[in-house]
Amino acid sequence: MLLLCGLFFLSSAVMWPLNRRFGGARLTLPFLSLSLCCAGVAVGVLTQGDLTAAILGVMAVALCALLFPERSKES
Amino acid sequence: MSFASGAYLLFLPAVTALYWLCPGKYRYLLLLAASYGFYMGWSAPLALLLLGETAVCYASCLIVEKKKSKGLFACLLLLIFAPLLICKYPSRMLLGLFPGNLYGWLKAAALPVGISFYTFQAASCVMDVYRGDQQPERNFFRFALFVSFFPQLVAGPIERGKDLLPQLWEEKHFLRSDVAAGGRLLLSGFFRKICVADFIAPYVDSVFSVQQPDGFSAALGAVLFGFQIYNDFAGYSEIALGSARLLGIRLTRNFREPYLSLTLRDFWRRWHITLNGWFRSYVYLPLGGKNRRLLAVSAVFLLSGLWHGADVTFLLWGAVHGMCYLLENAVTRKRGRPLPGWLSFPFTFAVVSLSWIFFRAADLSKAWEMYGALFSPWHWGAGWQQSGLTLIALFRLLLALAVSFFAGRWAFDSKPPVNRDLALAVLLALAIALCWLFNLRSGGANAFIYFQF
Repeated sequence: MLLLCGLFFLSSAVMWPLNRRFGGARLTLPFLSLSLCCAGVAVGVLTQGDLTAAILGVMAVALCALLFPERSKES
Repeated sequence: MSFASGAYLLFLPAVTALYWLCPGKYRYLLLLAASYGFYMGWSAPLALLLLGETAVCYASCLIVEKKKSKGLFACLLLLIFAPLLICKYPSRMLLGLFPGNLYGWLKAAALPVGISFYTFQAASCVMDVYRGDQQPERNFFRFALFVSFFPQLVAGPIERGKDLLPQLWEEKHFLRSDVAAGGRLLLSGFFRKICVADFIAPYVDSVFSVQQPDGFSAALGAVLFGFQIYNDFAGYSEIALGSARLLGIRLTRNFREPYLSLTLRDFWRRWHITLNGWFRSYVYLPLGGKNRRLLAVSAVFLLSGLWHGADVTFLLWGAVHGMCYLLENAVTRKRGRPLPGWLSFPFTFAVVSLSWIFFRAADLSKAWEMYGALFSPWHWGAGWQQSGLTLIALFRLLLALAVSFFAGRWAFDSKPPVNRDLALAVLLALAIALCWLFNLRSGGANAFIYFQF
């Protein structure tokens, strides 16, 4: 489970800034985060109902979203 | 009702919707009814005490405006603080005579929820009117709402009349930016409480309940409790700010990232800002401030300790902070410039963290036991097991602390909302829901720590 969490954390940590750098997307960010959330929940459920993996996954994506802010529309 | 309860998640949207649907001139009456309903969720009879305190402070404001007599003012202050002194101090000392469960039950029944907060807030209004800083509020219902406004009734922030009273009845318009700002604060606050503070609580409990603690686990317990109480109280404050913001009312920020402080002086400017502001205005400055620093600082810190309770551990917690504050001040003045960050930051963090042992320990003997283990090198063994903290739990804790830190900044960010905000809101809400489920499975949620004060 630790390995799964680590992989999940790393992949989300890499995907988010890449999306920011190359996409600069506005609408893709919510969809990306939601899909990653679903993946996190799925991992949690698959690991015998343990919520830890899901929590770690969601928090990791949230941290990435906080660390790599989207530019505001006005700027 | 607690902020972290399902009832509040129904109560807040219902009150917000009714508030904006209600004609402007009746809104304060709706909020007053909602605030008393909120308080009666804990105890209906204690709402009478709140009403009595409100009536005394309202009358005192009108009296001190007309008659500026020191003797009369002192008598009125004694009358205002009497319920707090009677309920919080002698009764708790007497209750110590009762055994076990009976003591716990009587203690809970004897201490009205939020009495320290609403008494200080109401008293500040009387003192401001006496000093001529503020006009008294002549409408009793508006004054009653100022004392009992539900987002900050139970654990602050302790507001000043001149800041909050005008906001309670001025004309307001529904703004989406207020709802967005309120939502961000609510999410950040709930994240702090449910994903950080409630997650740390069992580890802290296990360290502080071990019979012969190891030095490492004592240090870990002190640091973890520091993060628990910060996230618990800052989380509560952010929920309070967010709830009020949904109603178009701005409350005072209570915490500004205190663990980044380089000095103790800086720490106390960032920690429980409204209570420290209260002590500064009504204790520190009247006692002479900088001119009689030793007396004024000692009085503030000892009173700050006593404000938390009648136990000697709280008094010692205040005394340690007071002494270290004075020491830091003396060294800085002698050098003529502040200490370098590499020296002052560890000092501040160590003082703050180690003094939490006094604050958290059930009694003085437990606190000495913890300090004894901490400062005895032969007690530093395999203490990791005593806390029950696993590697994955530590990883989750560090991740949650990082998220709460940046989410706090995001919550107080005044820039216009962007698309990321929606994604973040969904992510944080999901994290909160998952952590809530996790906490439920591992034994349920904890009450806010500051409710006991």
